[in-house]
Amino acid sequence: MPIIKTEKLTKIYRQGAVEVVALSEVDIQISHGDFAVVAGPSGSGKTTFLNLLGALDKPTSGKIWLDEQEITALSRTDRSSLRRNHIGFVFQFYNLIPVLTAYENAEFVLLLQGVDQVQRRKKVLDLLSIVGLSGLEDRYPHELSGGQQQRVAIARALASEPALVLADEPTANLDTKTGQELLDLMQQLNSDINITFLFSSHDPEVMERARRLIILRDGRVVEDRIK
Amino acid sequence: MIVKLAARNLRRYLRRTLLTLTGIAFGTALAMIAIGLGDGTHDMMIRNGLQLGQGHITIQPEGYLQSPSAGLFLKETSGLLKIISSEPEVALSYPRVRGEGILSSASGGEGISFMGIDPGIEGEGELVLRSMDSGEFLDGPEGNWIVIGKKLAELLSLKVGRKTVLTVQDSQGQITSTLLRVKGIFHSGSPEIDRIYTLIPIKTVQKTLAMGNGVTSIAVYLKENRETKTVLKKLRSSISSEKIAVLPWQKIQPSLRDFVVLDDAFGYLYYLIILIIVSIGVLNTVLMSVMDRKREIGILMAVGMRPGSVLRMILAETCLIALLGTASGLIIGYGFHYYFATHGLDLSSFVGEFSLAGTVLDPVYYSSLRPARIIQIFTVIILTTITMGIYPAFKAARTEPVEAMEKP
Ligand SMILES: Nc1ncnc2c1ncn2[C@@H]1O[C@H](COP(=O)(O)OP(=O)(O)OP(=O)(O)O)[C@@H](O)[C@H]1O
Ligand SMILES: [Mg+2]
Repeated sequence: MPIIKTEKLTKIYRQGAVEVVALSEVDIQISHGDFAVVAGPSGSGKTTFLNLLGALDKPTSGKIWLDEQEITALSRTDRSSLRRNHIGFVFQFYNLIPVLTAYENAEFVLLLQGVDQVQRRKKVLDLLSIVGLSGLEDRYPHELSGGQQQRVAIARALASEPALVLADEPTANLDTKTGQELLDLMQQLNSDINITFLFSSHDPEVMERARRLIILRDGRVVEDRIK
Repeated sequence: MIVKLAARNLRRYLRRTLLTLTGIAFGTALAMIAIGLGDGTHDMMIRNGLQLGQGHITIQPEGYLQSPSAGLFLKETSGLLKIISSEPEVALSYPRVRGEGILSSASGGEGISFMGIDPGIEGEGELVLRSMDSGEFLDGPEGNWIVIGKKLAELLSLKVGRKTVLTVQDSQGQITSTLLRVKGIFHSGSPEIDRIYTLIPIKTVQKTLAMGNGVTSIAVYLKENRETKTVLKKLRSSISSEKIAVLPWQKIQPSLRDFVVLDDAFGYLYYLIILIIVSIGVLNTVLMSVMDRKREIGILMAVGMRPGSVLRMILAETCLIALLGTASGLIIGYGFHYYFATHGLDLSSFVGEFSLAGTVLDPVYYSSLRPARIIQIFTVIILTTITMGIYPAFKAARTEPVEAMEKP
């Protein structure tokens, strides 16, 4: 049983009279425990694809199943609870809530889920130490480097132990060394607790490490290779 | 957590928060000052107007209002006075004889209106007493004395101690005259009042008009103007004579009533303008802060914060600002109010005393704010502010999480 299944997934952006087909009839299945990368040139539809899978946006047509549940017809509130309880996000550009500390950012989803204080504390401190941020818990995002911020985002994405983590070019803004450290971490989490990861990237290092490589061009899957 | 986020957001945009806060505080303080002074003048207007008039409630013969004539009077007053003074809301009551006549001197004659009063009753003729220009006020219910206004004194070339003749129609319809001596001259500030209004000891008037111990009216003054309706009802049921009319001041002094209504309307207009200004300010800043934070709101929603929670977060921010703003405005406003209530706002260098619709306004304005009024200002401003947060809050809750994902 795949964790993600799409059927003729299509997204068309309309801007006045102009139509941009960002994603065109994509059929794909991603299994539990996968460590997959969506690659492709700029504008090929990677972000669009991840946003649809993460229930952040609605497709123009086509369907998405997440763990057997068809999600395209869900209401805003249902999509919100789906994201809260099943998906971890790492975004490309902007990740953290500026008024919350590193600790509070990582804790945020757990708070939304109503996890009790003791468990929250243990989990968040563990995760922050895993991502190498012990001692920086009380810093605000603007007091952290880009790489550190990205790591807080990963801690947040993992805190609720989601079945699926979607990460949109998580290494794009990082130096090579930090990027590698993050990949190590995610690979380790993938093999240790079987979290499914789906990245988008044009970073060769990321593609190298992926177990599955999906290449998009002009909104279509042109290559899908399991290594 | 929502409140924590809200408080942190306010602290993060400290400058904007302080600006909004100041705006609300300023609006609240302004409302308190304006309403305090407004209510104060309002009260003064009614108080002074009623002092020249016939009290909060007037008891007079049925039909006198339609056609006042010396033939219409209340023959028996002691029973009525007993009923009136048994009401706890009543401060004082004055039997009076009113009428019109011609006052003449060597220089000619002037139509005047006179009031026969008993200056022995506490507070009677107070307003005139306060504005004596020369001579003295009446000192008892008897004696052939008259107190006149400065304007009338000029017209008739009268001075304190001079003789003058009052010609009137008595209760039998006979024209009769009596010789009076000017006891004092007052200067109320209103030329109209200074020309027409005169005071004579009540017994002298009763004798001249041949009405025995009768009076044309009993003026009833209450402790509080707003008790008028209640006391009116009670007096009407206890004085159930068809020959006696129990009337509120609004009926006796319709021009004062109209003026008070107009003054009220302006007061509310002022209130409304302050509210509109505060509202626009709040709406503008809250809306701006929501727009500026599209990305972080998008993130909050992307990681699973419910739209409803986002809505509550923005509302919580507005509530916090509203509470802090009105609270500080209340303190500032109360300070000003306290000063104006004790020292008054002295405008005598700008305006003299002036009269409007039969009432005299002192040039020193005192602020008056009842606790209910303060609570009202507080709640109205808080509610308005919070209402202004509703639209931005909905707008925030409608943010699409994808908006946060777009390239900066
Ligand atoms: N909100 C939008 N409105 C209109 N067009 C859009 C919008 N978002 C994306 N597009 C268009 O859809 C296409 C796919 O965009 P998308 O962001 O998914 O590409 P991408 O592969 O993530 O690119 P990049 O590598 O630059 O991040 C592009 O042509 C883009 O211009
Ligand atoms: Mg992209």
